[in-house]
Amino acid sequence: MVVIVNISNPINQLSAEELEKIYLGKRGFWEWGKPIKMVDLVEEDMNENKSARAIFSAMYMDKSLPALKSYWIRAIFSGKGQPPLVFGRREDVVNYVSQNMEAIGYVRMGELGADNVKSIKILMDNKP
Amino acid sequence: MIHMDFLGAASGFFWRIMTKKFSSKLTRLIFPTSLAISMMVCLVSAGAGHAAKLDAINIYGYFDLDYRITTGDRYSKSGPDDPNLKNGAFDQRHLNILTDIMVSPNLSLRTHIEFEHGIHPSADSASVVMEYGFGEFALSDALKIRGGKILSPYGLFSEIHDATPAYLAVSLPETFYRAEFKGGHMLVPKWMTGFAVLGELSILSSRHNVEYVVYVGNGESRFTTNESSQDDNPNKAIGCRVQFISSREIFIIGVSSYFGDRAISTEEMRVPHIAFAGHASLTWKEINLTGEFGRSQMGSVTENTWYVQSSFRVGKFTPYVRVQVMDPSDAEPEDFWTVYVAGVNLKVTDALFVKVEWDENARGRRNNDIISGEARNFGEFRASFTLMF
Repeated sequence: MVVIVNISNPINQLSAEELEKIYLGKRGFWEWGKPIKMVDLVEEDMNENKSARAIFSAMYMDKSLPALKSYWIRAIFSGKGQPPLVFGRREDVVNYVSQNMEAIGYVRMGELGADNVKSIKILMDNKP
Repeated sequence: MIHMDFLGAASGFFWRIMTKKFSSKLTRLIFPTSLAISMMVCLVSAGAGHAAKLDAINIYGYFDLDYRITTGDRYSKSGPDDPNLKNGAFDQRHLNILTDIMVSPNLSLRTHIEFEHGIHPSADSASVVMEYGFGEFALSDALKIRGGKILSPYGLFSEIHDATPAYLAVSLPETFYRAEFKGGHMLVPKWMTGFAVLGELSILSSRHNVEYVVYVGNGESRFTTNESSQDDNPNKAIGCRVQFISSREIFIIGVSSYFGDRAISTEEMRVPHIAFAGHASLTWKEINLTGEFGRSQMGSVTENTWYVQSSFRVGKFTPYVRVQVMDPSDAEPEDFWTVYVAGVNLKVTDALFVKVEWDENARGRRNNDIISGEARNFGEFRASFTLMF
């Protein structure tokens, strides 16, 4: 899995904890001040349990898909926040990130195919 | 950045007055006023007034159809919201619509409108309620300001309130969250119109979070909460909640408090209303254990309540058990209300939930909700179909 941001985003790396907090809505702002727009990828031609989101969620949030969905239902209905936008195709994720400086997304390994997108390093050292 | 400068000055001013006696009349006036002015300046400087784009508006909601049947005769003093249902009854319980509008990157408007119990002009218990409607200005993750009508933060679930998709059982523990229907008084007013300051702070190598919220609002008036309109209370209500959230939300522990007062007679005799609560939740894999206790003092009456709930998710099924206990007045013997709950939550799809449960109720003979001759103990079968969008 490759985590991607817009080429204009000054961030080049994130710790695994920071990434987890971003994707749980607990960190809503980039260090440079703008609100973070996170994007999920659930491939429309694939079983959801094997989708990029399922792998990403298990890898960085240690949450099963049902647990992740329950988390966001609680957040939405208590007025605490919004879940990530969900795209069904890899190209859509890349396009969205290439057009939004505040965006962050992830795709499976492979050519990104867009000039305005870069991958960032995720530091796993501090992960419990 | 007008709002940043102003907030700096306002927070300094606020800190100075907080270090003095909070009970002075001047302070009571200054605290909410300074918060109100801060919020207004934030709204103006954030560009409020621009139309939100369509993709900045999110709409969510849910719909419930419930069924309840009670064993034996049970007559409730609590009115149509908690009726005797020995023949069973369907209830189109909720049709609620939430909107989340990003007015600008830092400013959002959130609303939750409820149509409850199948709204009809002749229905006694039906109601249309704005559960919450507030503007939120986010300076950072650690500092956000809300203004409007909010659900009073108290315990784990008060801000979820009636949102049935967001909790396992058919209802939240009623002895804790609906104590007024169990022979007691509301632990805290459910709604509050005023301002809140809230945020999350990372601690301990950024692995864990501390979440806080402090609010000031109208509090309660003579007969009920005065959550949504003008209120000339001499003392506004103040409350707060602080909770520690461990990495990956495995462990949550927190405390809540509320300070206000309430007029309890037509002579405007006011009594203090002070409440405290503690909560904890432990999640390991698919197992969850949650507990809360609350203590609320209204004048000379002290109410205590607690519950523990355990659940275990197996695929689409999540069975749960819960024990909830309330003592409406610690000076009054045999006025308790205890409920033992066992049920299962079936997540049919991401948008459809089916819940069934059995509630076994046991009441002390002096519980305030019991009418003479009524069965003190009774069972209740409850089922709920919940659609979420």
